[in-house]
Amino acid sequence: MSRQVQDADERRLARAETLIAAAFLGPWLLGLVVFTLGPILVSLLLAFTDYDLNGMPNWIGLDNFREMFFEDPRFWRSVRATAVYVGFSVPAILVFSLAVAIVLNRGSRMMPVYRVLIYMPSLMGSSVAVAILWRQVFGREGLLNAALAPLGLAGGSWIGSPSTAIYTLIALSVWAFGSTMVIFLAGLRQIPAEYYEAARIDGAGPVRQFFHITLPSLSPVMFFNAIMVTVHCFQAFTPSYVVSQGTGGPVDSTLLYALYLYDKAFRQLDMGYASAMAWLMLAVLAMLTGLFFATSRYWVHYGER
Amino acid sequence: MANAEQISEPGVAQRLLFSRSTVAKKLAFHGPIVVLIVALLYPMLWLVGASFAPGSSAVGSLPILPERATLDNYRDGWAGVGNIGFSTYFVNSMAISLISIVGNLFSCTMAAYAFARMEFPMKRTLFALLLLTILLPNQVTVIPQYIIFNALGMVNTYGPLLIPKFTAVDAFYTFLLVQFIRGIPQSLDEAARIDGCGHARIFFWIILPLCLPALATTAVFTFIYSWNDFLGPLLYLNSPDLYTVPLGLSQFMDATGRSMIGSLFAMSVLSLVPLVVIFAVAQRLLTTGIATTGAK
Amino acid sequence: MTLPTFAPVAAAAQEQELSGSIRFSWYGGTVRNQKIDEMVALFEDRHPGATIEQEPMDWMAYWERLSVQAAGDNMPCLVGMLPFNLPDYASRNLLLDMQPLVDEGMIDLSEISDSLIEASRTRDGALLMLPYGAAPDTITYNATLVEEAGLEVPGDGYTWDDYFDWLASSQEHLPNGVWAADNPTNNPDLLLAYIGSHGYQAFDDEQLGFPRELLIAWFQEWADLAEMGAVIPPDMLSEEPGPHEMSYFAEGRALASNRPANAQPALHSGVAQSGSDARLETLLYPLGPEGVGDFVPVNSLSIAASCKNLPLAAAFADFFLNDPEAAAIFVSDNGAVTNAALLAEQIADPETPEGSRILLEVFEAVNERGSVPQIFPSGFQTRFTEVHRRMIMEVFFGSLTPEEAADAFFAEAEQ
Repeated sequence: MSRQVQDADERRLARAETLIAAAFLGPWLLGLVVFTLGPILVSLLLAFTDYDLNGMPNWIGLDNFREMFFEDPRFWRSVRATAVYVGFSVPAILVFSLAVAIVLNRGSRMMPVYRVLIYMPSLMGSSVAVAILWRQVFGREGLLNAALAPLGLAGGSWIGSPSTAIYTLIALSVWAFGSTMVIFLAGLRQIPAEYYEAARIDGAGPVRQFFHITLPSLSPVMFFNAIMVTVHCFQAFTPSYVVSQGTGGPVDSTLLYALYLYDKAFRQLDMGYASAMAWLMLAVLAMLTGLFFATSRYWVHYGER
Repeated sequence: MANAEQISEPGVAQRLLFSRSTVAKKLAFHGPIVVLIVALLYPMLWLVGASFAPGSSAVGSLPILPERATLDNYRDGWAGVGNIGFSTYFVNSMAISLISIVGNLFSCTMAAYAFARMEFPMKRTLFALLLLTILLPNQVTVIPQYIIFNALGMVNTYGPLLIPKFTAVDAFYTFLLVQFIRGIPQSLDEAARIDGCGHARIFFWIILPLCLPALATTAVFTFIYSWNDFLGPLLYLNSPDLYTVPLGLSQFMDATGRSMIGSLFAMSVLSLVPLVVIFAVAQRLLTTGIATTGAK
Repeated sequence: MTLPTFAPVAAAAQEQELSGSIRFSWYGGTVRNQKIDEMVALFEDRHPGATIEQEPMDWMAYWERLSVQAAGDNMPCLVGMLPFNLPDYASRNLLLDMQPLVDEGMIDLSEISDSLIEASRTRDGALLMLPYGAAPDTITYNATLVEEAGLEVPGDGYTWDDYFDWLASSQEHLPNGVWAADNPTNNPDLLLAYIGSHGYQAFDDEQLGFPRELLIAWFQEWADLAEMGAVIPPDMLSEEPGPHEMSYFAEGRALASNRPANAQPALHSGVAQSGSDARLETLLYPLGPEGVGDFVPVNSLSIAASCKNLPLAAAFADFFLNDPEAAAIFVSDNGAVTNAALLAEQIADPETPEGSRILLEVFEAVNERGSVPQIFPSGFQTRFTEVHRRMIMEVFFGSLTPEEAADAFFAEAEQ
């Protein structure tokens, strides 16, 4: 009897909590239903059609995927370019931005100025001027070759050679590492100072403090950054769009997956194929994110525990 | 300020200010940072220099300072077309970016709080859905979304750029805030709950103040992203008097006629100014973390 | 028909009916937008009840936006169009057949040459574009370099062989860091002319209309030139900026380049900005076994099938094409004015800038010797122009032989 009352109470409480949660989630749910869910479902359906923005789509089953895997050499080139891009950019951005964030987290009068200056490249976005800037640095007559010339190492254009062009894009993504750094910085600032005080009293040095306080406390943010940087690099579009002037050249060496997808959707007007590519990307990313989440219990420590 | 100053013990540092080892230490610390900054900033400094060079004459020359300096690029670029000067684009971009900040802060914090601190049915499914909207390349949802906004009669208004912000369509920020809120020790709001606080009060009086750095991050990123966004304004704004700065910039370069490269540089430099100001202001907020507020 | 009587009559006939507004979208940069803004002001002055809502956008973004607008059923009434892109819109029934408007006298095409109008029609005779600015491609060469190196320019009636020989033999006379040729794929026109002058069409319905051997020969010619160092190295070509002003050719690093005649003003300003006083001159394209093969792309206007205010759209299009005052503002900003009377006027006008004058003279000369109309399939830009651009780089970098490049070209173009 009393247990039933207790259950009923809990249910009433849970129902109240659900209602409040619905209020908190309201704006997002509204946006999801009105603006997001429909287009997502449409794109999923289109992945199995030949929709070319002309009239009605025809159902063609798995043909788009078959074409991708077996008949489209450019698809595989875009996969390769993206793999190289992701493989180098993700670790480079994460390590670099964490290192700089830790340095910039120290107290010094110059730090606010340093932070602003280091963040500057991230403000450039995908402005058309970026293409010209990158040519100034990595072009045949750019800064890098000018610096290498005295060493006798200057070669051709870094942007214009198929073997090096993708690395100039990786450099571009690392150049704008500021966003990731800022998130790390915000995370570092969230670590209670008492933790460090307690550690110092226990006689822990900087290295032990880093591994026993900084890293665990930062792990939710690290988790977020790792996922977002990975997703962001997989979906990278603007670096290649801007630097190669939309072509993905030279000879498809910077044809990132998202650029090829865009090319299919908006230039070749093959929306069915583009949708298929998008959902394949989604599947890969969902698997990777799932992996991140599955392993998170071993290395991500939330304050809620 | 924060823990770092407590660690470095300013009194000791000041006493040793002039000792040789401190100077060497300072140099070892600041030297690499300055070198890094110079390397990172060369392209931008070059851009500033080039914006004062006549026409496209700076292109291809490495020095930062142009041989001949002129303000023509700024004058011509600012003038714009007809009665629509570049100032119009600045005002438009500023309005969109600031309202976007309000929208994202409003909608994303609420959704994030629910996911981080509340229990409700289908939570995992909804969270998976949230992540899904981040993972799907947006190129394929552009056209269906355009059709929705067109049906709502909102094309050629700021509606399609602003309304999604108030409905947390940018799941990135929600996810970011979820991670930050989950990082806040739960003991703090449990104490409040025992004192009889409901979710609304915990949200406003405990969680929001504690994740100020994350809110500042959200605000800064939202501003930068909205300011630099090209595709959204391109698709949804048709009239030049509604155009934003990036659309204005793209008009300086055209493959089928005369380009104004110098003006492109000049206006690119100007377009960075609000971003630098916003970041410089907001970064003070970034440094006031739980380290100070949480200790109260 | 003489000018003084023609314009007022047309205007008077329409004056009382025009009201409401239309949206007008075109591709261009600030300079062109300024001119069109003035033209619109002039038109609205004459027709107080009418409004033209301007929607300018630069070339690349323009097509991106238009394809989304088309898919979302929200196209502007009047849109800029080019023969290369027309099929993408024609095949989806998005454009209005304007022949009835011409028949009713709402749009006057009497001063525009029949060949241009015929080239603007689809296979079944519908008139989907109004040609306003002809942009024939030319071989533009740096006359100052020619003089300094003591070279001779190919004479009238020169052939493709003459042209390739000239490029090859010039290289050894050019200073270090200057090459005979630059990227032959800045646009599809040079290859189209090569195909046309051999008596073929680029496309025969959905299939390529020329033999594989012809394409192999084309790639081979360029591979040979590249191998002897007569073409700008491929890594440099890959990083060449898009605008004509910033091209290697404008910087004086290439002897000759195929450039649309409407690029002349930009090229001239580019030469000036690079601090050089080099003189640029033009040659009509080489001849092939079947004579002239030029295809003349004409910047055009189309009316969307969904347009609700046809009288206004037609009146403004007519104004854009034929009005002397409008033409005096635009001064052939996007290709030579197609109205013959206005063309003669602009050539005679001493105030026409040098770059524009070359454009007008080239167009006159091309018009005189004739051109080869082509019918393109939908997706032409990606199936032909873009594939060509990639394949020539594959050949230059040596990653594909001319044969392999031709095979890949055929595989991608014939979907």
